[in-house]
Amino acid sequence: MKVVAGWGGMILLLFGLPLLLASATQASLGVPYPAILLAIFLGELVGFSEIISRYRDEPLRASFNGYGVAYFVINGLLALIAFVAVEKSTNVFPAVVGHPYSAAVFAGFGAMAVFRSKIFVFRSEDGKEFPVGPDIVLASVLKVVDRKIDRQRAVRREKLIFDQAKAIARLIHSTADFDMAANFLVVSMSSFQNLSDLEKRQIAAAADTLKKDKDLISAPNIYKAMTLGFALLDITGEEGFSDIVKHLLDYLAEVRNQGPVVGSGAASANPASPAPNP
Amino acid sequence: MAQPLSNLDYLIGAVKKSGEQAGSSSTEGVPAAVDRTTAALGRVILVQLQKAGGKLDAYQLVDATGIDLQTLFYVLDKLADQLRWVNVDRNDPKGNYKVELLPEGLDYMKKAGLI
Repeated sequence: MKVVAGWGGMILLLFGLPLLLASATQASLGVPYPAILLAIFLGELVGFSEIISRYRDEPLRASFNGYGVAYFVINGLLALIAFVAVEKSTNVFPAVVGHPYSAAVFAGFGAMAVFRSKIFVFRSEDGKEFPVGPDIVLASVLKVVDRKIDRQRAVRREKLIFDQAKAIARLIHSTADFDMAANFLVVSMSSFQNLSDLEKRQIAAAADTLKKDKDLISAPNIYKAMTLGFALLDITGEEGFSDIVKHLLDYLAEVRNQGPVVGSGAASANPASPAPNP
Repeated sequence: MAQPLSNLDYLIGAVKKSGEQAGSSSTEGVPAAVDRTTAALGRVILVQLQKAGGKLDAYQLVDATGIDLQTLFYVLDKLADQLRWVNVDRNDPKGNYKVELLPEGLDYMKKAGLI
């Protein structure tokens, strides 16, 4: 499914389509134009928040692509439907009658509560749950979008890690070299101010496992570098990851130029002082 | 068994799911990263095998994928023994093993959207 091509298409879908829909709806509802737009944009905002909560490492990259934008637009359309329903059903929602902006906020955020609801959950013999209700439609759409975004990002992430791991592997020639590189990456984590202690400990534990696990210790350096890279990338994001690797490559090159330390094992003897602060 | 209308399981389920999701990336740890590395390198190998009609020897794979021989063999072992995506004929005494894409590997490629 080729949804939209480029930023032009995305802007058109995110802003052009709501403007068009608001114009078309205003005539039949007789409510202020900005109120209709507000409902649609709030609906899109809900969709946006749903996508960014799933991809914490690169939320904007995950959101602003054809599939992400398509999901925002679906949410915006649902909010518009909810807004029309609220405006037309004056007996059901008397509190917002005559208050189009309140109705817009109610519909923009409330649409998701309705379309995310399950009337009941059918539980099969094997313990699997099958929700029955409006949620099934939106959950199916989200699943497709989620898979498409994930696939798109996986290709990009794999290429990034593979290329960086190859560059690292060119500079490390022994287990001791890998240990030194891993120590450097762990220390680099201290430059991230927003990382929790738990996340820093997890990276340290991952590096430790790669250095000591009997199955992994004999793995090729590029394989170990990629494994550590995947663990890091989730936390640092692509930009942060590239920056850290650049510092690591500079550091490894510098150490190699200094002489016989690399590969001798001496470099990894003091893991607490692997590098100048990146 | 159908649950009654008042059942609030879905709310609990949603909270649980969102909690799992929020922590998923940082709690996966090394085993998941190892799997992702194998899959990432495996995909590169599978794509080249499929492009070549399903069979290549190890040296050709090195040229086609850009993966060095040591890493290639390490990953091929996992792909052949654990995942059964490829078959590796290890008869060549010089180590230029014949690698063949298996239907399971092809199946994975379809599911992963590689073909």
